[in-house]
Amino acid sequence: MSQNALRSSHVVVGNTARVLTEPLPPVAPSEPKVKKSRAALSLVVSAPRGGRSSLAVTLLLMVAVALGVVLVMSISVSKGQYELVDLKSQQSELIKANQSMEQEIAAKQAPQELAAQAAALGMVPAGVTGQIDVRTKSVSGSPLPASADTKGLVDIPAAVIDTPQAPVLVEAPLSPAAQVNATENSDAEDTAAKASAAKPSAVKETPKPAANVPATPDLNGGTIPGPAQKDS
Amino acid sequence: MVHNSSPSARGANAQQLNKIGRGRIGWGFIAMMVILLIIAGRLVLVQGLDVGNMAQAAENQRKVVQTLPAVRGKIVDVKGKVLAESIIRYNITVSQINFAQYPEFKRVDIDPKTGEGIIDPATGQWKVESFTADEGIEQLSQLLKLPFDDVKKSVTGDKVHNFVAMDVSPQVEQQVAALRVPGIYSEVVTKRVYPMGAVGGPIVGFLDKQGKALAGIEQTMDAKLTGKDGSRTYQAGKNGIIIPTAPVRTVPAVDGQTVKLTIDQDIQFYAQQAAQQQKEQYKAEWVSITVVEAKTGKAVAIADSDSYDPNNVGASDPSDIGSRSISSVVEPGSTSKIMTAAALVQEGLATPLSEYLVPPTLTIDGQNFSDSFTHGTEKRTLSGIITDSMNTGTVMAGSKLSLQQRYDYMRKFGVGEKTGIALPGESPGILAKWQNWDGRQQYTVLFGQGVAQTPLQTTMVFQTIANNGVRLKPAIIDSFTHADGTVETVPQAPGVKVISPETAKDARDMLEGVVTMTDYKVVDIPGYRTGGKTGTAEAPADNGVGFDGYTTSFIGMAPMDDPRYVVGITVQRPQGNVYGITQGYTFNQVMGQVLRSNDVPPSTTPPVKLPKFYK
Repeated sequence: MSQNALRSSHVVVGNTARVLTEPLPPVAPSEPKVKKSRAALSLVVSAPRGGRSSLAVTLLLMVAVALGVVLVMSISVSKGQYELVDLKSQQSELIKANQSMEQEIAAKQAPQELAAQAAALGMVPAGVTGQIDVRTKSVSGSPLPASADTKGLVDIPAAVIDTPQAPVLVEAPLSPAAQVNATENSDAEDTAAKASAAKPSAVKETPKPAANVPATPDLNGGTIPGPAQKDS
Repeated sequence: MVHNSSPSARGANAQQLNKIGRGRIGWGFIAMMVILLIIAGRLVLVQGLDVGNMAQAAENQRKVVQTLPAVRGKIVDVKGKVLAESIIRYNITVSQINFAQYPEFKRVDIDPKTGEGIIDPATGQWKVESFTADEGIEQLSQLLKLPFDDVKKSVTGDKVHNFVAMDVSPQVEQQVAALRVPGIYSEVVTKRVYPMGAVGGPIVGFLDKQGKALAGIEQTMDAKLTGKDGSRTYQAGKNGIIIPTAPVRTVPAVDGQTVKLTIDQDIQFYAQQAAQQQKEQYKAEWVSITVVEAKTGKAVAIADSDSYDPNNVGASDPSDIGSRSISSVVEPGSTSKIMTAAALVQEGLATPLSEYLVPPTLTIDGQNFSDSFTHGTEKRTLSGIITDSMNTGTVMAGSKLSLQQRYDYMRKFGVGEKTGIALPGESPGILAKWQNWDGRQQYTVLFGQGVAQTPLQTTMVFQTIANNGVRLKPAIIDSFTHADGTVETVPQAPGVKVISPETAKDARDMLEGVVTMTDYKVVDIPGYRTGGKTGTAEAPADNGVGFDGYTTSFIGMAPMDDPRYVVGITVQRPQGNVYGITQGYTFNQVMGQVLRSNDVPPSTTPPVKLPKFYK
C-alpha cells in the first residue's frame, strides 16, 4: 500500500518544480473577506473619562497648593528669621544699655562717690555718738551735734573707669540744713565749693555735637527701658 | 526585469542606509552612554561616594560656628554690691585710607526724640547735611572727650586699622556710629570693671589685658568665676542670614559663678580711709586694718593703705600690689603677751590675779630685759603686767612655760602657718622651731619678738580669745551663685580648740583691763565694753641687718560681754616717737563704725577692772 502510494504521488524535488509563467496576482491588501458575525450590542461599563481628567486637575491643584503652602511657609519662616535677627540686635542693644546703666549705678554706689556726694550736699561726718537706752531713759556717752567743720577721714580716690558718658548734671540741691549752714557758715560754703570744684569737667559746658542722639533707647517718657527679649 | 531589478536596487540602498544609520545610532548610543556613564559616575562619585568631600566643603562654606562667650562671674560684697563685673566696651577704630577718601561727607539729620531721620517739609526728602572731614573730627573729639589734635593725628595716615579711642561705653559708641563719619568703625571688647575702685582693690585683684587673673579673688577663684563658652552652629547664606531649614545646634554658654565675699564694702571703705589717715599722719610705710567676725571668722574688711585701683593697676607702685595684711610679716610685739598669759592660765600655772614681784629690769639666763617705762620693783598681778605691757613681768611669768609649751601654744594660735584665707600670696609668718631658739629668743617670743606674723594672723589670735578659745579659719568667701541661680554657701571650716572657754574668759578680762585700767585711757567707744592690746616691736631691716623703725599695733574686740568683732590695726615704721603713737583712736573709729553699722546692742554689764597691783 505504501509502495503504491509513493508511485502514484507526484513528487517535486528542487528545480524540477514547474516555472510559473503567469504573473502573480497583484497583492492588494484587502480586508479579510470573511465576514464575521457582529457581536450583540451591549452596555459597556467603562472608566469615566471625565473622572480621569478631574483627578489630574485635583492632583495638580494639590501639588500647586502644597507648593504654595511650602512657599508661604518658607517666606514666613525667612521673614521670621529676619525679624529674629532684628529682635536679637534690639535685644543686644538693650542688654548693653542695661549693662551700662547697671554699671553706672554700681559706680554711683561706690562709697567714695557717696562720700563725695554727701560732702557736696553739705553733709559732715557725725562727731561723738551716744546711745539712748529706752528702758532707763538715759543717754550714755557724750553725744555732740555735728559741726560743719567736722573733717572726715582722708579721701580714697574714685574708681578709674572709662570716661563717664555725658553725665547729665543735676545741680546738687543743698539740704535745708546745709543751706542754713551755707549762709551762716563759710566752712560749709567751702565744702560745697570744693565739691563742685572737684568735678570741673562735669560742670563745664561743652558745646554738644549736632548728632548727639539719645544714649538710651526711646523710653516713651519713662525711665526704664523695656525688658530685654528672651533668647529664642 | 524591471520589476526584478528595481526592488533589488532599492533593497540594497535601504540596507546600506540602514546599516549606516544603525551604525550612527550605535555610535551615538555609545557616545550618549559614555556621557551618561560619566555623568552618572560623576553623580555617584559626588553624591554617593563624595570623593572630594564636596558636601562637607559646601556645608563648611555655609556653616557658621559662633562662640557664645560665657560671661565671667561677678564679685560682690556681703550686701551684694558689685566689686567686679564684666561689661561690654568698644574700641573706636579708623581706616585711615577710607577716611582720607572723603574730604566731605553727608548724613541725614536725625531727630533726637524719635531716632528717625527728619523729613524736610519743603522737599519731602530727608534733610541731609554735609560736613567736612575736619568737622567730623571735631564732632568725634567732642563725643570721645579727646583733644581735636589727638583725634586728627589718629585718623590721618595710610593705615588700614588704627585706634581712635579705647574702652568706650556702648552709648558713646552708638553716638559715634550715628555721626556716620566715613572710615570710623568700632570693635567690641569685654572689659572687667571694678566700680569700687581702690575700695577692696587688693582683695578683689585684677586681670591682665588677655583676661588672665593675676591677683586677689580673681586669681584664687578663677575656676569658679570663669564660665564655659558655648557655641552655636548654623548655616547661613551669603548675606549672613541663617538658613531657617538647616539645623541649628546650640550649646549654651554657662556663665561664671558670682562670688560673694564676706567683705562689707562700707566697713572696708571706712577701714581703708582710717588706714590711709594713719599712714599719712605718721608718715608710715604702710598700715593694715583687718576686721573679723569673732564667731564665724568671716573677714569684714581687710584694708591696706595705698590700695591699688584694679581698674588702673599700672598707676600704682608695684610694691602696693597685693594685700600686705596677709603677705607682709612683722614682729607682732606686745600683742603676743596675751598668748603667753593665756597659755599660763590654760596650763594652770597662773590666774589673772597671780602675783609677781617685778624688778625694774630682769636678768634671766644672762639675758637682760627692761620695759618701755621706768619703774621700781612693783607688786604686779598677771593682769597688771598685761595692762602696762611689761616685758619684765611677762618673761618672769612666761618662763614657767617650757620651750615646747611656748612653741606649741603659738602654733595652736596659728603662728607659723597660713591662715588659709582664699587670697594669693599669703605668708605663714616666721616661727623657728623651739630647738633652734637662741638664748634670748626663747624669752623674747613671750612678748612677740623673734617671731613674725602677718597682721591677719595676729588678728586671728585675738579672734581665738574672743571666740571662747576656738581659732577659726578666716573666711572671705560667703557663697557662690551659679549661673542657674543656685546658691552654694561656703561652710564654716572647723576650728582649732586652743584654750578652754574659761581661759578665754580670763584672757578677755585681762584684755579689758588694758582698756579700763591703763593710765592713759584712749580706747573708748561710748556704750560698749572693749578690750585689746597694744603692741610695739622693732622692725627688722629689710636688708636683714639689725632693726630700723618700729611696728606699732592695736588689736581689740567688742563688745566684751559677748565679743562679736575683732579689729586689728598694724602700722609699719611710723615716724616720730613711737611711744607717743597710739592706734587707740583709730580703733575707736573703726570698731565704733563696725558696731554701729551692724546694730550691735551696747553693753549692759559693767566693765571688768582687774587690779594691776596686789597688796
